[in-house]
Amino acid sequence: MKKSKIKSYLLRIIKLICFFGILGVLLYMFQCMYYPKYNTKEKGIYDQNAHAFYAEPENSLDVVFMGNSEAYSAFSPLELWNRQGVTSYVVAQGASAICEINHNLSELLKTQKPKLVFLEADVILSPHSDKVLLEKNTESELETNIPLVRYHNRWKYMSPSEWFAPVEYTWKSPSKGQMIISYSQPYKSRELELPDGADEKYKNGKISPVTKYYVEKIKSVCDSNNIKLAIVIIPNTLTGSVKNYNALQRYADSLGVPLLNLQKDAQKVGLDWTRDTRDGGVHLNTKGAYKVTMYIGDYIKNNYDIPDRRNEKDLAQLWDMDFISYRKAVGAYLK
Amino acid sequence: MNFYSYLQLLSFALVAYVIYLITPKKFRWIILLTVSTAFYLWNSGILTVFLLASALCTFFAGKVLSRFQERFNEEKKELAKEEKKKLKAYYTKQKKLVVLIAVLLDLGMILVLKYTGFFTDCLGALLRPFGFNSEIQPLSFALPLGISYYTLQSIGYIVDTYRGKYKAETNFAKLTLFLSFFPQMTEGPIGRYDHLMPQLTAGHGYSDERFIKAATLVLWGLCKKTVISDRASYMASTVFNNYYNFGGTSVLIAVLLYTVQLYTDFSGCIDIMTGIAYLFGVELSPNFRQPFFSKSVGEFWRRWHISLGTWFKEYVFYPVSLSKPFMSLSKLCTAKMNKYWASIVPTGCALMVVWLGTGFWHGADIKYVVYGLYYFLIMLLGMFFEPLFAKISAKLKIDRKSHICTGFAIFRTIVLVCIGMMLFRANTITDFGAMLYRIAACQDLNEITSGYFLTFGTDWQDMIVINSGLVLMLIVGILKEKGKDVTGIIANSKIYIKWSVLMGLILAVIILGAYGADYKSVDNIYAQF
Repeated sequence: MKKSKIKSYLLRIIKLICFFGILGVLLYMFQCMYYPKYNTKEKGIYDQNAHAFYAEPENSLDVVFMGNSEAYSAFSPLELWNRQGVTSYVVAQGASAICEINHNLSELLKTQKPKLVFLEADVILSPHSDKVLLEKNTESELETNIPLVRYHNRWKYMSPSEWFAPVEYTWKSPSKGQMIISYSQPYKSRELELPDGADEKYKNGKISPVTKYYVEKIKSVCDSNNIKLAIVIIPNTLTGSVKNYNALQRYADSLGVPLLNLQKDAQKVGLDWTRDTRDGGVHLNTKGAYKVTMYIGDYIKNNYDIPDRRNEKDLAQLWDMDFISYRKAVGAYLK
Repeated sequence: MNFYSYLQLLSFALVAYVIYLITPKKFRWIILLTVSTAFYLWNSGILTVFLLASALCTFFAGKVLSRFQERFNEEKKELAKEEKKKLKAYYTKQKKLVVLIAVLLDLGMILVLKYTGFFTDCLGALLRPFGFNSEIQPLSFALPLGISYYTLQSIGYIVDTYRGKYKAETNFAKLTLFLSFFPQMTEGPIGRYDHLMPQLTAGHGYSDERFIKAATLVLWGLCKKTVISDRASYMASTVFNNYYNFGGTSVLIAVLLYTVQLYTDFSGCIDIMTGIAYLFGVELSPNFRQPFFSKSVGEFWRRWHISLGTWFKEYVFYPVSLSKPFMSLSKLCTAKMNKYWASIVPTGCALMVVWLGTGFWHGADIKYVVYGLYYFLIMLLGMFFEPLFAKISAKLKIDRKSHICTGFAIFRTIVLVCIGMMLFRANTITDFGAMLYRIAACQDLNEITSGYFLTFGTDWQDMIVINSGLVLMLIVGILKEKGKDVTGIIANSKIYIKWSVLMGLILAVIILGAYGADYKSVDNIYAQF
């Protein structure tokens, strides 16, 4: 190759590096400006409940429930604390792509050392095609890895004083990530029955390779951090399908991960579809969450060595106070 | 397609471009075919069979037409003039039959897939008075990507081969590439074989200038789509779907916003696709030429969706005008009417066919047929009153080319186009009528002064962004109108200008783009046709 040609190629490469270098710096600057400095919805954080774990004391959480809306509707960390002194948290976002769960787990591990992670199965059993799942997860990957994409629109709402303020994620979720729903909308057509997929599209019994890729990533993060992983199926009249559960059981077995099927054990859990759901059986309400938490509490006690931390004075004081507030909010409804 | 889909498309195009460049020139068209097929399969899955069927039909029709032409050329050599005429008539008949079958097959596919719902709906409505209430359910099928575009390309190719404009393609793969070239599959433009094929098969190399021009065009298109169009769509769709909750002022603003949305959506997508195609050295036919600078509706349609207008002119208007019944009509008019009517009646009839077709092409709904007829009526009235306007202007000594008259003509065209857009977007014709009435009858300026119209998804910041974008588009439009090649100027400018423009466009798309949790994803409007 001629010297002049090599020189011209080199010049092009240098130009390209300079161009993307300057662009990268500009994008990073805007990202720093627009990134929410406080973890509240008003200050722009995406799904504040799922991002409130930043404010929990370091290494204070032993059990984490992860998933989508099914997860934040079905677990009650404060009831679990009251019952057996286990510190837990729900890190879940509505309609979450599974890659977000992987991202949230990595974020959580920056300040916490949980011993057990429950992955809610609804994120694994998606009715979408592989193509849609790939697109959805690619979008989420982009938004989580380049937060400017997620928070780009904040220029409309933020004041210049926020641009370079220090990040202070001090807002705590009063329910430790659980969504409190104190009303019922009964499931009328097949009360107390084990549903077999109310919706045809959820009946395919197929786990997408895209989902498998992320579940295996979550598993590997758990393994490398010495965390036990378990998959839990929350009773649900929309996605419940025996075909799906069998596929999930086979998949969980292949990963060597225990599967806790509360759909199968719905009667043992004591779920009452006339009272324990907020939307006709798709999501549980706080009553349903209480029952599921009690059942899972037993499961944790019988299968894992999770410490009772009620003897840690400072931590216990914080959790007890939160529990009292929680019960004040939902106590009457739970009766 | 939303912001993320475009990012995927651009990543796909860049990977395809790298593969294209490292492939020997001779085989680069094969890479284009492969990536186009992959793109089509990814987007349409099993429905790709319809594209394949169309390609097969087009290819064989072209081959048969070519064979007939060759045979005629062979056989005519030793014949006398009279016999030659007879032979020509024979082969013309045969060729016409081939064209008819191929066009019917091509049209058949689109009619079944796109218009069955419309036909069954109409049939149901016709039979309802006779007591058939629930027997006929509207049928609908999934549509293959770009069927409305590649079908017209295919018909154009068959007709041109019939006319002997060029020789039929002998390589099926190349013809398939012509019909499926991926940048054209979403919203066109409708390409012509003699224009596209040499470019598709040339195997272009890399050039800095081309890359910068292509990147500028793509980013400019992305800005139009994600910053302006998707932002404007918010209020437009809220008002159009619930117009009865709004006063005339809000409805009027929504109509203007929808016009902005449609233009920036369609022309933005075309810019993106033209930029991608240009990266591969393919210059697609232009689809827009500053349509809102038009002084008449006719001119508007020569500047808006140019490839569709040209197609209808070439393959509908001329054949219809030159067909036997129309020639007879023309002759009859010349014999029985004065010069004025003799020119208006036949042209008007041919125009009606064109506009019915244009309306029907846009969608399987009576609304679109009325949309086509609306423009037909305006153009007909324009032709009808033109001598009168000319007389009045001459009498009053008005210079119709003066700035004031030109400005008025542009304003009048924009008003008429906006009414057309309202008809195009309104959910039903009744809604269109009701919205028009609201605009005409109840103008409540309080809706503007109180900021009421800014509470339906498009707030004042959005309005600032939309208007700034429109000003920028106006400046670029004026430069283009003056014959300046804006992307060329940028590509050949100093490095700091070039980089500033590119970085500015990238930042505008990322920061000002209406995507993510705060905005709804908006599909390309013309991708549905």
